[in-house]
Amino acid sequence: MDTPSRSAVATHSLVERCRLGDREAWRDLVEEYSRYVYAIIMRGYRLSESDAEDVFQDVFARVFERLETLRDDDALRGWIAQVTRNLCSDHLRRAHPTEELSDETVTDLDERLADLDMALAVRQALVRLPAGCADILDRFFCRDQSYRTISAELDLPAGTIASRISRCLDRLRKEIGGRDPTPAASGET
Amino acid sequence: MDEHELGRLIGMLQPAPSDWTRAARELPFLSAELDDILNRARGDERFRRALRTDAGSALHEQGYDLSPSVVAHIMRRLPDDDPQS
Repeated sequence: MDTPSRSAVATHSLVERCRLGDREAWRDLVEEYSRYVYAIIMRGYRLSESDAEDVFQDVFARVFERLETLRDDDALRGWIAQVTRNLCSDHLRRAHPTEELSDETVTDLDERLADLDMALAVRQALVRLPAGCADILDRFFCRDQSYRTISAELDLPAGTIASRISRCLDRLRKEIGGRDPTPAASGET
Repeated sequence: MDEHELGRLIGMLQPAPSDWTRAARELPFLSAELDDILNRARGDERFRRALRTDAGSALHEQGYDLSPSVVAHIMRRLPDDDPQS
């Protein structure tokens, strides 16, 4: 599944502005990819929290420094993933110089990383949904908030949360499928 | 893709800690300051010791206004003290 989060033109513009040192563009790039990089490090390579923070900063530093070398701006996601994988592998080689990854471990890793690519595509579709939908799905599935907490924080009737989540998932599925989202259900936009 | 699978995939991309993302946003624009600080720490034992004691204050006294996450980044790169000294 490869659902771009933005048009090729917008991605090119974002990368170009970052190359020129535009802080706002860089902030947007970090915002868009920070979860993905974090997940590759933590879920893919399962580094410890303190090692992960170092690698996380190194990834974004390297991406910033080497944006000039990215020949195809549309390949940004794949390139960031590759930079992250390389730095995680370098870290593991330094930390465990005598250990070789078994074929089984490599296969598991590849499967986890493929899963994260799908998760990013879903995430990028999610942020294209109306803000209300993106927010409620993020609260429930990412921030692990209960119906009661969501109800209190968004000032919505508790009895409507489940149906809103279900409708928003339906819209998300359609967004991923490339079809127009269904018309907004009341209160979700 | 059913609802369960969608929910699982949404949940896989948790937000990175906010101080990590803040540092990632700031660090590329602070490379000159970071180089200065780390070069000085390499050559100035007293400054290095002050950083280890209270990095935030030591840097503030030198005129740097850095967020805690950037200070933490510097501290992770601080050279080890020479065990012979």
